[in-house]
Amino acid sequence: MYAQFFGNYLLSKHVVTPEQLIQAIEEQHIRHIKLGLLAIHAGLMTVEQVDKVLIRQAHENRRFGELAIEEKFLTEEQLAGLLKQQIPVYLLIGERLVENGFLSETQLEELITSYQEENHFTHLANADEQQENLQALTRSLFMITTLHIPEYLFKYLTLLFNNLVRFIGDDFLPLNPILSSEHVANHCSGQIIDGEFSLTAYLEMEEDAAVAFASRFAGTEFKEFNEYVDAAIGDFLNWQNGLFNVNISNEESVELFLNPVVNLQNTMLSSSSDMILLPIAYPFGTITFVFKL
Amino acid sequence: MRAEDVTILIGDNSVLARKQLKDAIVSFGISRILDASNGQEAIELYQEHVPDLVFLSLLMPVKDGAAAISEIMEINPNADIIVVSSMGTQSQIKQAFQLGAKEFIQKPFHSQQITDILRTRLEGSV
Repeated sequence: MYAQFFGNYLLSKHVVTPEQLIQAIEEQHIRHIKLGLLAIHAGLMTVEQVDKVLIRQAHENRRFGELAIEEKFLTEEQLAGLLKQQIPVYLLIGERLVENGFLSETQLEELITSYQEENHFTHLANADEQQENLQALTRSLFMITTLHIPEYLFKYLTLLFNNLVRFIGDDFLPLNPILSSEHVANHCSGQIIDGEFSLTAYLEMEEDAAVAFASRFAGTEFKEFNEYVDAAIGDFLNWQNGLFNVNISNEESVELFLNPVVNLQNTMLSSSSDMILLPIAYPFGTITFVFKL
Repeated sequence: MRAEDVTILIGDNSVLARKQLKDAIVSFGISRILDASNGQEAIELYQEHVPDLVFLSLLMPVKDGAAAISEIMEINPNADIIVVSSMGTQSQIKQAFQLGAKEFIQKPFHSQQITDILRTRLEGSV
């Protein structure tokens, strides 16, 4: 689940640009993953151990796994486990950044290690701890903004990332939030939540991204933009907001009210104060959530 | 009553949600399906056709689901209304039942939930 935030971590360290990151997201299906990287990610080998094996590999024409076992860095069972595991999305993206020449292999290994350390991840985190970690990562996204973010928005966003995984797919990367009083929206749905506090949420994307987004959401392959694609954007927003209301009602006994979703096309979203724009990159395109507080 | 004689009304402002409900209902062998994109249309279609079962969203423009349940219950106090809604706090569920809804499904729904309801509500008549 934390994989999605590794891209944002790279942005925050200024080691890649958003354009380089988006290119890597789009190319993540090209898989040339290195075993050493998988071993570091799984916590089985250190960067130094991997480097030692790589140096030996440069001199001897032997497989990485074979040398790692010989050095007693890995057992045969651990190697077998690594070879059959599903490769996390952020490793695929990291490898693309290396292949494209934006990061060195060593730099990527070190960044993965520091990302895990700085965020205190453990491989044993239970479901509650995972949600706490996710909320902490959500907060870290907003450290670059000067705007005061209300507590309920962090809850909203934590649920949103869970719902994106659940209904659209986990192969996304949140980009840096932007503050703006205006935003041109292509295909867009908006919904007002009001009551004890008020929040207007919009979900906006370009036509091609909308077709792919709706196909994933509805589990049906849409070939072109149509009324169902348009409705899918609003339905996702409506589910997210409905579930948010239920959570807030259950956890804090606060009753909020939803207004019907409004579908908009080619509209300028504007506000007298800053809106929060949160772009989220998927391989099929970027979707943007816009919040008016 | 045979499945082909059953009439079902769907009220939801999302054309995709109506399609997903319709697909689940059609898979059950029912083809007489009416659909409304707001509460007012749902009330008018109910009055005209008196369907056997109604699936209604709470969040609709023009007239919302709660108002539509009230008016349909005035037309027919025995109306079979199932709420399928994104809104599902305890108080919203309670209100829907007080108005006369028979069941409540929170979105997102699985088609299995819809066919289970069809089996239960239409048992004996289909």
